[in-house]
Parts: sequence; structure tokens; C-alpha cells
Amino acid sequence: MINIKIENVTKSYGKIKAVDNLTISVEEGEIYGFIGPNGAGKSTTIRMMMNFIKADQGNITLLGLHPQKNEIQLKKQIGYVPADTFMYSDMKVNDLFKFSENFHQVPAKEKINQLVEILDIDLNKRFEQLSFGNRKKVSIACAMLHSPKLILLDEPSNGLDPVIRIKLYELLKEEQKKGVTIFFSSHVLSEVQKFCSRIGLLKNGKLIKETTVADFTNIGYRQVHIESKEEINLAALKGVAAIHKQGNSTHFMYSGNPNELIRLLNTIDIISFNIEEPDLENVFMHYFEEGKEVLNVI
Amino acid sequence: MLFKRELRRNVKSFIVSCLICSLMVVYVISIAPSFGEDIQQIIDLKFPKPLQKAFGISELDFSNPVGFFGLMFSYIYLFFSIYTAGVFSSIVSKEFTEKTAEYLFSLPANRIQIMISKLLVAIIYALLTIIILYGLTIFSFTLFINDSYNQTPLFLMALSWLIGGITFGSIAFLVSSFFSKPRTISAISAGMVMVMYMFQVIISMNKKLENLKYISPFDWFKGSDIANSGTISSTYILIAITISISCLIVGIIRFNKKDVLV
Repeated sequence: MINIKIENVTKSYGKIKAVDNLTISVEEGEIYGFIGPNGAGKSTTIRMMMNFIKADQGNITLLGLHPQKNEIQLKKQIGYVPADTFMYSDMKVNDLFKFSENFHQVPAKEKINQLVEILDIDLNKRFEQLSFGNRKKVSIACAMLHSPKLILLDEPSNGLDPVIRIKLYELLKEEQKKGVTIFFSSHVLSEVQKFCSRIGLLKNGKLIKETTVADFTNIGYRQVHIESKEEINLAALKGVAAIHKQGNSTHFMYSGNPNELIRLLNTIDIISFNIEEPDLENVFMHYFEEGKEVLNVI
Repeated sequence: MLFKRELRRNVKSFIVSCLICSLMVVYVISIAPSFGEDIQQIIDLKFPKPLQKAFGISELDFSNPVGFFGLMFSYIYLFFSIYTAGVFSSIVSKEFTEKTAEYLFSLPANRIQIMISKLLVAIIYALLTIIILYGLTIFSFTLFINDSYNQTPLFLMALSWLIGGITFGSIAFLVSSFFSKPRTISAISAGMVMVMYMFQVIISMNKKLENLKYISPFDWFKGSDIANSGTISSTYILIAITISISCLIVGIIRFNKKDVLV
């Protein structure tokens, strides 16, 4: 069953297209990572899914329902974590949970206790007394207390300490096992790599690539790092891309013949040398480097 | 839950405004007997006739305690209207300016229901203020005034405050849907009430501008007219209700369509 269906959705602000003819579909129980640089249109897309912003064109269906026509029915089944957390500052955390619970009209005491324990939340503090990270934890708990079928998260790990971050992803993995569909945007690409089954790359409002994480990083390139006493001339080497030189260090992506690379290395005085599979972060950075696609893999 | 929260959230401004208006009411009524009919001479000596007209005191009958109370009518009307404009203009817009709209609208309730709940709280507090003021007026009259008096004008004055205040509140609610900065919203809302008050003063001083009296709600209900005639114009009540309902509906439609941007 397809739980998220975004078809040819466009949203413009004046002459700027924030989202441009976007089409995505996410299956039930899938964890979909939405990545892209700032201003790519990730948050706008999520906000259109939440009916906070109306799309200019196109159609969105979540859990088989229309976000505008079936708003209440849908929001009972959706959990949403915004990138910036703003809740009622004068309310205690416990009251905020009760407030959310009351709207959802489901008994959630057990779930709240579970989330409070996992995320280490102080129930008696007022929201205004919390740090950014702790506010984020409250927001995550509010989004999950009603056991939603679909969870939309916009930069969820932003502001969280590493321990809570790991706990959050374990929590989301548990939800996924129950069949919950998870859609989230993130800048922490290593987490997307570990956590998501599929990713969509957004740039200037357009989906430029949609693939599995494994396929995305398996692009036939290797990440090469060389530290040498002399300058390296890579001009003769075929299959070199995304060259970065900084002092004695040279980094580049290589898809050519390994023997030719070794032959080149034999001609220079090397301090250190490393060749590895590129991680998502490396590939991502090269996709968006200086506004052009450095690697020809799309 | 939202309704209860809004009641709690707005209780402070309600108590403050209610207290100030109550003090004004009790003070005026308590000093009325000590002035008696001399007040007319004092006013004639201190204020030239055009100024008396401007502040709506030229036609007041000070020999009557209700007439004396009419002296305070426009000031309570002004203060109460500033209060309602403030509450109505912030009650929904605050969710957008304080960026809590994203959280609130992520919960399973549609925006129109949310806005109606919030406006209901604003109307209840306005109504409660007027009920308290009216009760206090009658109580103070019983306590301080020995002469007999007619209660109808007192009731109509309170009704005028309520209708006028809600009209200003509804206009302020509509205005708030056009702006996103809280300072702009509160400045325009309070400013609108003050400008309308000044407009009424100017119209009262200049006969040539009399046709413009429909513009300012302060011209629709005047303490002197109510004290002297014991009636209020049904035309103005109709205009006020029409404007209020129109502004509230258009404001709700605008907020319903408004993008939630953080």
C-alpha cells in the first residue's frame, strides 16, 4: 500500500519555485529520507503534506486521504515533528502532552510514559525553561504519543545530543516494525545512510535522484586521500572527479583503472594514502558542489 | 481544552481592564452627589461650548445622576474598545506571530473550529466585563444615589459599550489577518480605536461634517443621547452587527487560507 503519494506538486513564492513538479511515492512501513541543501524545498514539501501550505499545482495523498478534504481524519493518524520547535511557552511539558492527547482523543498515558523514559523528558518544566534539544524531544513525543501510522519529521535530530539521537532512531525503527511509514528530511547524512531504506535528493525544488541508499553510494567511484611531499598531477589519470587540494593533501573521487592509480603513486613521495568506499556524505557533497553535478551518476 | 487554555491565557488582560473600568464607574457615581447641580456651572466656566460638544457633555443633564454618569460614558467606551481590539486582534494572530500555529494546526482539529473557539473566548470576556460593569453601576447607584433614577439608560449604555466594543474587536480581528508582525497588529488595532475617537470629536465640533458620523462607532452611541432619550438607534445596532459579522467571517476565511510559515 502506498502511504505517501505526491504527484506533480509545484509551489512558488513569487517567481521562485520552492517545489517544482515533485513526484514521490512511499510504501507502507518504509523509511524515506529526504535530503538536499538548504532552500531545496524539503520543509515546504512536508508543510504541504501537513496542509500548512497549499500547493499551486499537483496532488498529495497520505494514507489514501486528501490533506485538505480529510484534514481531521488524517491528522489523527499523522505525527509531525517540525524543524524549529515552537510550543506554548507558558505550559508545563506534562500539560502539553495532555493538550495533544486531548485533541487526539486516544488514551496515551502508557505511550507518554514510554516516550518520557526513552527520551529522558522532564515533565514538570515549563516549555520556555527547556533548551533547544529538550524542546525537540517534547515535540517528538507529542508527535508520537497517539501512535500514528505516518510520521513526518523535518530535521528531527537537529539539536539532539548523540545518545538521544541514537535512541530516537531506535524508537523510529521500532515504529517501522509495526508498519508505520516514516518520512524525514535530514542534513545528518550518515544517519540517513544507516536508517533509511530509500532516499530522495532534492535540489532547487526538483527531485534529482531517488534511489536506495546502497545504490546511491555504489556509484563506481572510490574516495581517494593522498598526503604527499610534492604536488600531484592528476591530469593524465582517467576517471578522476571532484578534486580537492589543500596544502599537501589531495582528495578526489576515482572510477578508473586501479593499476594506473598505483603507477602514478609510485612516481611520487607519499606521506599517507587511503582509498575507501564513499559514504553518503561524500557523494552528497559532490552532487551539490558549487551548484553543479560533479559526478556523472544521475 | 483549547477553550480552557484561551480562557486562562486571556484572564489577566480581562481582570486588568475590568478593574480599570470598574474603578472609573464607581468613582464617577460616588462623586456625583457631592457635585449636584453645580457641575453644570463648573463645566460652563471651564469648557467652552464647542469643546463641550466635542466631548459629548453639552447635552447632558447634570441635575439627573444618570446624566452625570453619561459624562463617563465615552471614556469607558474608549477604554473598553481598546481592550476588545487588543484581545480580538491577538487571539488568533498570536499563534502565527509566536509561531505556535504549526503545532496547533498539526493537531486533529480544523482551523475554523480553532478560530471559533478562540473568538468565543474573546466575546465571553467582553460580555463578562460588561455584565460586571453593569452590575457595579446598579450597585453603586443604590449605594451612593439617594434620588430616584431610570435604570433603562444605564442598561443601554452598557449594551452600547458591548456592541461598540465587539465592533472594534471584529475590525481589529480582520486587520490582524493582514499583518504578520505583532507590533504592527497591536499598533494598528489600538490606533484605529483612537483615530475613530478623534474622528468623532472632530465631527462633533464641525456641523459640516455631520454626514460623516456613520463612520465612527463612537458617533453611533453617545452617553448624552442615551441619558436624555433612554433609547439607542436600532439602525446603528444593525450597522454594528453587520460590520462585526462581516469582519469576523472575512477574518476567519483569511486565517483559514493563510500559509503557516516558520
